[in-house]
Amino acid sequence: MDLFGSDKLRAGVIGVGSVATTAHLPTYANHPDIELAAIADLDGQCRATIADDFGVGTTYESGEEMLATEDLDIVSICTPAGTHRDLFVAAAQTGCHVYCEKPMTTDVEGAEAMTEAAREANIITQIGYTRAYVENYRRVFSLVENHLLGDLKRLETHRVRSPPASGWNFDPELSGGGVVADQLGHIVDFYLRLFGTTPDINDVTLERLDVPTVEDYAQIEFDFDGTTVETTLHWTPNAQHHQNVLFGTGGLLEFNMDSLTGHVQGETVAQKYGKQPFVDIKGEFRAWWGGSNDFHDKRVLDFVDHVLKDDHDTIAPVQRGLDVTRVIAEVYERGDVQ
Amino acid sequence: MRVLVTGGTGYIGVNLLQRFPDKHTPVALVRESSRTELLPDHVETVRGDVTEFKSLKDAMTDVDGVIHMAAVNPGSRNSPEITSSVSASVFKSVNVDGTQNVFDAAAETDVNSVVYLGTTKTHPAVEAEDLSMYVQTKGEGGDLLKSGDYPFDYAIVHPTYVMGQRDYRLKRYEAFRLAAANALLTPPMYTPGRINIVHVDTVADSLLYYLEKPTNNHHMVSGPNVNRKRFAKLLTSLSSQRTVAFEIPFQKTLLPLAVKAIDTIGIANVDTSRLVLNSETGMVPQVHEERAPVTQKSWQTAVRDTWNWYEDVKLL
Repeated sequence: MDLFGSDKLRAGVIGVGSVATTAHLPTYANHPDIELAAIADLDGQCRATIADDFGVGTTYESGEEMLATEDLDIVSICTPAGTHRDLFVAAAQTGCHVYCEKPMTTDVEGAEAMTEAAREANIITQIGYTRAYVENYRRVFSLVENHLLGDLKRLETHRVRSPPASGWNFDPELSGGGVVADQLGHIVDFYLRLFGTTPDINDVTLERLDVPTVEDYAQIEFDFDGTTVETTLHWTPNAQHHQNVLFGTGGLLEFNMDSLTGHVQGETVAQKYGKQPFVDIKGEFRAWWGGSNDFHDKRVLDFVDHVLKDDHDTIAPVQRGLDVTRVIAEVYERGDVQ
Repeated sequence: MRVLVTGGTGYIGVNLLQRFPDKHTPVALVRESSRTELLPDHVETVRGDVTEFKSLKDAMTDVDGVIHMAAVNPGSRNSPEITSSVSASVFKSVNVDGTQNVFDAAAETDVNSVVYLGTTKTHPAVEAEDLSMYVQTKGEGGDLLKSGDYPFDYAIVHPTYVMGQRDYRLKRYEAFRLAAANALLTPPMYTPGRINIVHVDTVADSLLYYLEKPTNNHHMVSGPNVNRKRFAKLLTSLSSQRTVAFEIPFQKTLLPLAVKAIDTIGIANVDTSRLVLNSETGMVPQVHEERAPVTQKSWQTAVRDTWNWYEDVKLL
């Protein structure tokens, strides 16, 4: 809230790369209760372009300087993971509510410091895990909570994507690691929601196949209260594949960000983006129209709603980020990178 | 009244236990494999099995009434046996001998009212042929009450095709999914014929009514006999994608011919012999108006509540 009587919350974004332009900047720029007051980025040309695209009046090279100068209510931290801790703590000390992209940070000590800073400043926080906003995952949670999938016996997750375009992912100082740091946060957040408990880690294999600096292949076996969960991750050039296979005594579901298929209690399930097909001929032919993933809009909007309502109970506050960071740290401890 | 409920985790059972009035205390008989997570939180449970007489007698200690619904039903998917492998001996041991155990245990304890859940086709006013093993054995279970000289009063309740919320075994889901997953619904995607739908709450309330006022007789709990096209049209009206239910002209003559032709020239992608071209489900004689004086929820409400429940759990 500014001195001139505007009721709008003043928002800033630090790091205006792809996730900022996809999720944060458009949401703040279009929200009736938000004024997108300032952005910060090391890259001057990027700053100028984004400021122009989103109508931002003030830009900074340094995130710390922006936080110290601007009287912000909300800030999104979208920089490399290795910078999150200092920026987050600085933001908390100004009393600013923080949406911090994943990975939360690069080590448990950093995550603990961020959690403590948030607690001391009593700010509202959210870490950028996406799965809870993806309709297919919400449907899986619902089917499990309503006992339709029976007892969960086994889960497999396979995630293959192209190596990230940004160079910092390959610098362990900035990223905290390779494909595990890049992808496992979302996945562990999903597991913690699904099972409601923290896992034991049975086995970890981490390998540097085509990337010399960090692991680009990982396979991990978790145990969630007796349920075996296998996770495989790989950066494969030009590839994009995502698959979960969840087996319960009441059915089997195969799903990713787009589709959800399988059977529950012996009945067919076939959905895309939470929608039924418009034609389904005995399962031999199915077609859908419309539908898309809008979880990026939903997650930042949801955070803004929590701030507007002074509700600290966001879907993934710093404590959740700390829990996820601990699991990721244990994966790295258990798996010597080959 | 303290009431032992068998089959409490079934479709009618979970809804019945939700509707128990405060003046009665339900006790659900559960086996080790029962899905007790479906029961309301406050419901007391007792371990037992209808095939084990002593467990029933123990469970009926200090019990005044019994609602007996437990049965092996291939459609219920709650038996350890897979549908096709449920043998005649399993049907008999649970649905007939198990029922005999329930009644004998009730007779040897202080139970004074027993309500038995029958099926549509085992009501004396319904003429039915080619009874399935399930229906046959459920009928034999009910016959035990009439032929036995038991010291308690009883009622046999015969619901038609039950619909409503909490279909945890998805026994009704397929028709709903097809209506939600096809913008154009035409026979045989919905089956021509007639259907009699009754709301699960009406069935539950009727069971409770006859528990308090056992008549030593049969009681149908039914809705109106409706054309399946009306059912299909109601389903399509609930779908979010403006689904249309389309009737093929002269379907009773043309549809079998068309299916046969498709089958003959070998372009059918499904097993046409399994297509049901005309179906009568839960039909009752139209003159049959005998119903418990409880709130009768309409068949449309039953369909809507079923749809809404599937939507709530995110299956539609």
